[in-house]
Amino acid sequence: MAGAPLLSIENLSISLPTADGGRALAVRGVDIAIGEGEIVGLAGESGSGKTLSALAALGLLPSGATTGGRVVFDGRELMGEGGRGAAAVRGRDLAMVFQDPMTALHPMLSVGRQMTEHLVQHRRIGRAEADRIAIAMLDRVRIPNPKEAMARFPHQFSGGMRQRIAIASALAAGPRLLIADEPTTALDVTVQAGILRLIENLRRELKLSVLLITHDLGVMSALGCRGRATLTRAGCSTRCRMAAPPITRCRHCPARRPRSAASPPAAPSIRAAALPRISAAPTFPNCLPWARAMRSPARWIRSRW
Amino acid sequence: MSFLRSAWYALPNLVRFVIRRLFVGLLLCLGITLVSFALTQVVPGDPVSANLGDRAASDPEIVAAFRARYGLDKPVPQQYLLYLERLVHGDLGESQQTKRPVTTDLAQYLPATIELATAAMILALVLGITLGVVAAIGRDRWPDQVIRVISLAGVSIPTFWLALVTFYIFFFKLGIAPGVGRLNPGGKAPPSITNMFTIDALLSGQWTTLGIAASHLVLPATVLAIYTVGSITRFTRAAMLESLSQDYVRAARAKGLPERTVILRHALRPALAAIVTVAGMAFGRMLSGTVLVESVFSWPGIGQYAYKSALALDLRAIMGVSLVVAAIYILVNMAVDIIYALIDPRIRLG
Ligand SMILES: Nc1ncnc2c1ncn2[C@@H]1O[C@H](COP(=O)(O)OP(=O)(O)OP(=O)(O)O)[C@@H](O)[C@H]1O
Ligand SMILES: [Mg+2]
Repeated sequence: MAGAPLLSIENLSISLPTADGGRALAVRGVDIAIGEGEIVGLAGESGSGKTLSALAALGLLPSGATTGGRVVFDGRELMGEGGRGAAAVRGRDLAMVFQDPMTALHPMLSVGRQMTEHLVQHRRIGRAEADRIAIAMLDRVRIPNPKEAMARFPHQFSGGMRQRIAIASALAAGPRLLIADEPTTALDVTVQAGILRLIENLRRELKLSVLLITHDLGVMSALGCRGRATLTRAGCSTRCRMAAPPITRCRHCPARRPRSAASPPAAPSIRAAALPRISAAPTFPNCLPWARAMRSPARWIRSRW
Repeated sequence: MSFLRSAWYALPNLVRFVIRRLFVGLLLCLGITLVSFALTQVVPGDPVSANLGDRAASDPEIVAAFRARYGLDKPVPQQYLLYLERLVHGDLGESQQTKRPVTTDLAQYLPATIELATAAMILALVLGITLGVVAAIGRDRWPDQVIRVISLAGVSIPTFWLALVTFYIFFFKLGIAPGVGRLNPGGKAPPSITNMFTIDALLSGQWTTLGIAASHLVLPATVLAIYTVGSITRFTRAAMLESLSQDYVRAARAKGLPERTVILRHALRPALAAIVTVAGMAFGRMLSGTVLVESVFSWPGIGQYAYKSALALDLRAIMGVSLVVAAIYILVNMAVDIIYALIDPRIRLG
């Protein structure tokens, strides 16, 4: 990766208001850097703040969230100044595909409408031109009869097809970076591989950068994000969030992580929501444990988490 | 037979739906006639004494003539069958009060009420949806608080009291409201087309009459709308909060759409589907609310007609009103279902 990365997230932390009026630190110390045309994985267990980190980059955090750190996209600061920085690139240069294709598409708007409304907005083109681009994009993600599909509604498609449509919609505006938030988690295993292959192909064809969020390291390795991946993990509760030292700094060797970290300190009075502790691990190709992890991710996860 | 069947399925969904609904509606109306007829039989009170003066009621000959004229001398089942037979020919019988065919009365009074209720409904929808959306966007901040108070007031103030007070203030005190009725005293009605004065004036280009008719409509329609404004506001707020929290709204924001589009297209649309249902029910409530509003504002509508008929035990008029109101309910419900299906493509009519 030469020069500055396209997207860099530095020491991102996010805290959310809790029901009892306090604040919970949901994300802490996330570092991610993605270069042009690169695919980077962000892995972590459920609830560790992967989605929140992505939403922070888009400036779409739930109201009341406060953030620390920096998100820089192509030299532009995205956080701060009331999220105006993110609003300028959102959907246009920076697109996102959400976790659950069943709920991420609007049930009452036609596929065509959802494919084109942001095109018309961002690219200042006419309806007909937008339709043409959208149909081409649907064709590219292998939706059969893309022309007719434009007039149909999401409920008339299967989950896998909906995710393809969501991807097509995200990519139609020609973004430079796609954040794919667990694009296959809600899908049948048989469709998962297809979606992943699609993302990888699109990345190559469209010279796209991809931040792939997943909790499945197998997915990461399948996509060839071997070289660069970031791990997030939960492991800290509300009480200890400030006091506890970082559990992991698994720079080169995740094996050095203390075992005890695997079970967060029990705090009886605290609501079940265990709050995530994040640790960043940009790894290096010759890091042995990583290589091992990627060869057999499932076992690796079981042994660590 | 199979030809009929395939012809039936060849019809567009919407047409099939309407036909089926109208058929069911017809059966319902038949049921309504039976119920309202039965009710007129069991209510205590005698139409003879209610309609004839004391002197006339004490004269057996006059009473007999009265009973014969309105068919009251026949056995009850026969009376009902006779009624149905006339109904098929579009004859609802003769009103004992006005001595005119009930259909003529309805043609005169019903449009006034439809005009009033429709104006109130439009007002309630526009105000209610706007306030509800604003409240949802400004959730828990001051716009929400203010609107909450307004909508609470709307649903808790009794319509009759509100009608009296607003009339007193705007007519007697401030003098900005026109007087009672549909037109100024001695005003000439526009040519009778629909008998809704605003529409008729509009159709025949009588702009002064239009202005007068509209100005007479404002206060009663507002009073009639207030309750519905309150309920639609609350409902819209809840439905908007629900839809604003949906994934697809977040996805719309992620696409970089302007907030206005996100709210008005992505969030309001699902909310509207639910609001339409509530509005349909509110319309029914509004029709019954007209009784009070019409009597305060001397609005010569079906509410007043029904009220007077009920007092006079004017059986044919009462039955006519019930039938017409039932038909309106049925049509409104059908319209609600059709609009719902237009808004939500997942709903199939049929
Ligand atoms: N709108 C919100 N309000 C309050 N807390 C939230 C909100 N969204 C997320 N959280 C909390 O923040 C934490 C991180 O959530 P996030 O959705 O980012 O997890 P995730 O890593 O994406 O998990 P998954 O793999 O299940 O998608 C969780 O503890 C969650 O309960
Ligand atoms: Mg998530």
